[in-house]
Amino acid sequence: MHKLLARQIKRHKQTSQWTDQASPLLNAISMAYQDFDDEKIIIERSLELVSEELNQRNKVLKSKLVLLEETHLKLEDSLAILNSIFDATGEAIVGFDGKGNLLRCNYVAKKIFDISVSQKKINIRKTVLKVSRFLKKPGKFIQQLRDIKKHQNLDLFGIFEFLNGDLFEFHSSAQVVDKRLIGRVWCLRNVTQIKKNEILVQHQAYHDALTDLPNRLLLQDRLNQEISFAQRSNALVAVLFIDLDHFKKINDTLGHQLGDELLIEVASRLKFCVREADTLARLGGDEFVIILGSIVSHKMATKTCQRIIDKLKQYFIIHDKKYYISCSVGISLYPRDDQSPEELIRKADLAMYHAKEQGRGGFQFFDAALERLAHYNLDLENKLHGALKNNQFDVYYQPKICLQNNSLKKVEALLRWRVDGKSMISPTEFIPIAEQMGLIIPLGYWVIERVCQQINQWKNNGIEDVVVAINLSAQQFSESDFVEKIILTLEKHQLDGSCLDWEITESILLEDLDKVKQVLTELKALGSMISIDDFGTGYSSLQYLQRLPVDTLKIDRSFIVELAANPTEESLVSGVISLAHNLKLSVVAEGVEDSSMVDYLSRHGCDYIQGFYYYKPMNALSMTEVFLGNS
Amino acid sequence: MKVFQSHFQNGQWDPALPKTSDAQWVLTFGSRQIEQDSAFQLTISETFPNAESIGCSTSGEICDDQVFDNTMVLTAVTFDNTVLKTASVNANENTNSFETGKVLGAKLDGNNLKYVFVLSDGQKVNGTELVEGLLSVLPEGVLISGGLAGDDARFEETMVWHNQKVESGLLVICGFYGDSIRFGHGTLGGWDTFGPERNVTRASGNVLYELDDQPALDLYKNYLGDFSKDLPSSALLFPLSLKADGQSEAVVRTILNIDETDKSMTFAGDIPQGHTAKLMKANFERLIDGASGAAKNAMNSLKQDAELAILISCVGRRLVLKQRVDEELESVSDALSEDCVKCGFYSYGEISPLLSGDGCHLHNQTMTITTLSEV
Repeated sequence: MHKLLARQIKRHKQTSQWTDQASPLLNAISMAYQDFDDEKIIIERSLELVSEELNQRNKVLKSKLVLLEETHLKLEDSLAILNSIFDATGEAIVGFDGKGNLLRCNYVAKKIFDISVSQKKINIRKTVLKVSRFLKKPGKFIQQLRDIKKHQNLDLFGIFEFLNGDLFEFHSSAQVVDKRLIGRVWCLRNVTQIKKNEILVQHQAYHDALTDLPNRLLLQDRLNQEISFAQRSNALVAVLFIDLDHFKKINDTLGHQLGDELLIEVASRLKFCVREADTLARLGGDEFVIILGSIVSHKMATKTCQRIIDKLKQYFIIHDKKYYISCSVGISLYPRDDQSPEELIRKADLAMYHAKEQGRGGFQFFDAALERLAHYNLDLENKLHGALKNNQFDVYYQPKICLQNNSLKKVEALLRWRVDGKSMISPTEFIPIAEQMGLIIPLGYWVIERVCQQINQWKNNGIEDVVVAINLSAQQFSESDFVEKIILTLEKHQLDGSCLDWEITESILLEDLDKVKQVLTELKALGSMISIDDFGTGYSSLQYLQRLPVDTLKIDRSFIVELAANPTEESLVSGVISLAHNLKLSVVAEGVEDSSMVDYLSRHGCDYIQGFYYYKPMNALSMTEVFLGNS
Repeated sequence: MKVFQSHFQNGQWDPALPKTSDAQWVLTFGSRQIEQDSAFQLTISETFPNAESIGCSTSGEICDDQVFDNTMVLTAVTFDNTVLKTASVNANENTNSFETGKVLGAKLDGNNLKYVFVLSDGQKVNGTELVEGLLSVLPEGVLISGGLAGDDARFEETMVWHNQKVESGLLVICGFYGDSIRFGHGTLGGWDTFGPERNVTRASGNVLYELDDQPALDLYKNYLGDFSKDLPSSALLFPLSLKADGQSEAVVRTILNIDETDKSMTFAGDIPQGHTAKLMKANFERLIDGASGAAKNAMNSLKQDAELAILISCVGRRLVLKQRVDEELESVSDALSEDCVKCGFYSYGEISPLLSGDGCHLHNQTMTITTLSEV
């Protein structure tokens, strides 16, 4: 029985008889009491457990809240960074929601389109009106918007041209989530400068940076056009290849900046010489090419050349100083000379070289003979490559006879080349080519070596005190260790420098005069002699005769050959002789072929005679025999 | 339609059975020992030679407004214009409860079928799957009600009978045909949820392993305290309210069994993983109001006076209400018409449509009432 019920029965002093009688009822009551107790226990326990569980969950939630707050702060930070990036980007970015309301735009966009921050609700219509006001072609923009309206997921690219000339590249893309349009973003980038640069780069690709003239690429393109036009109209096209004479010297002596200024001036003068429709191009350096299109006769080319030559002959004033320059022009003609643009340019170039060889300052048409010469030179060049190795060179000697006592102590060493043991090739032909190839340097040393050997051989034969003259080229002179090598060679052969006489032409003196003086002084210090070769053909400046340590002048053969026929030559020769003597220089006359010349020269006090009258150039063996008096 | 009811207790029928009856349908709810008695069976078959006899073991059989244990309540129905067909199948013959439902439902002819009453073993069948199996084969719109057999509150073995067959694992189905029969239904619980919402983190079919990643059995033991020793029946004090994510209507699930080895709990219906669950507890007044409400709904949906009411109430309610269980039956009785015969039983699961009347579901912890009459 439930305790409470038992106490209640006891308190109300019920008899056991009564309880027995009421037993079923009392049992039911007792069970009901117990049920309620159990129920209470369960509910109380449940309450306690639930509150405990809820407390625990609360704790978890609180810690999650802290985490959430931290995350929130981080998000705010990164949002701030994103916002600043959004604003800092060079692009203008504008975002609309699905209904066309302006959602966001960054700083650049606000600035460009004059959108103020306070304008909260801006729909697409207002924005379109706003943007249209800035555009050169608003109609095109509005058409694009119609396209978007029709095809909502359309991506658009293009360029807006603003009224102020600015160009903006734009990109508009739909933002779609689960196939649902939620908005659209427009990005705009100012590409004005980029586009300008592109145009500039395009221009630069086809133009020369210094003179802004068309370059080789554009030249070829224009020449193609002119050729096809001439084909249809039966006209001629002339290609003029212009090269400034001795421009390198201007660059080297006056500096590149001045050289550049000169080129700019040359370009502007050349422009003046051609018609508006003609093409004037610069190939680089001092090379210019002119295309004269649709001409009826080559006379037009001739006239233009003459005009160019005359125009460039006039002095240039740069930095208040006068400069003189000349040019050589080569001409090729379509269709006579060739059909292809490249060949026409090449042939004009070839003709230009020929013009230079003809003495500069002139022009020359291309012809087949020129080309043959060029091929011949090329052939020589190929043969020269192996000549030294194949022992095809030889040194010949030509005596210089002393007029005072008819003695023979001086000879000039002369290089000879025999290809495959057959024909002899003239030095006037192969020396320029060897110079072009750079072969002249090893060849020059080979000659010096050979001469030194020969001097010793002569000594061995009892032939003493021979002085051998060796020709020096400008390239040998510019070798930094040239004198050093000479000293080594002399030491090797145990020879004194006084057995050598260095012959240089006047043209060498046009190079760096100080440098020339230094080298000559050093050679002189070795005991060697210095002679000026071909005197009278070049610049014949008296100044250098004074400044340089020169011993001898060699009067060019051309004066001597003319001596007999032309009395003025006589006075010229005698003048040179007295000039030399006044400067304490000895004189050698070259190319002396008969006794009357000898008489004349002897009369005028010439010191040495070199020529066929006495001896032709001969090989070492013959020379030795001459020395020994055997011939 | 005529209904006769008698209560068999201590070897006596009260009132006495007629000599012979032409009733077509006999319902006997009560003790399986009585049912298995051959003399008893002979009496039934001799008294009601034309009847399809069905019934099941209970966790308390209902006779009018009283509940009894270890007795037998017989209700015999004589229809005027209604045809009745019955069929049965044993759950052991099928791979799962859905299949069982399909096989059972397919035994009925669907033509002109108006109503289906089903009794099922209460231990070997997943009620949710059974209902789904039945729905998959029965014509759309046919009302289904019924329940799962009980065995006091022992949760050991339940039995269902169909004519001569008395078997564990048996399911019996009754189909009602014709235009005269009318049905009403009502089902209400009256339990309150309490405590936090919990996630079903591990479950399979009707077996629940974990709530919020903790063993479900541990949670129940914690809440039950000293009453844990009475598991699994004491778990009926805390049924589970289940809700799919985002849905408003919850279903109530009651415990059938526990497994100490894997700390799992078997429920009378599915516990889908991912659903949210809340513990529930009884509120006497609301339980009793719930029963009364179910009766009113059953009356209202019938739209005329009921001649028979089949009450199937959850064993959990009885365990909680204890002595006050009679109050539940009295409140039902008060809501029904005076001459309506009431039979039924305390069960391990109730089958009926929801209030809205659509579909059919397995319920737990409810009072489910089906009302019948003919026109």
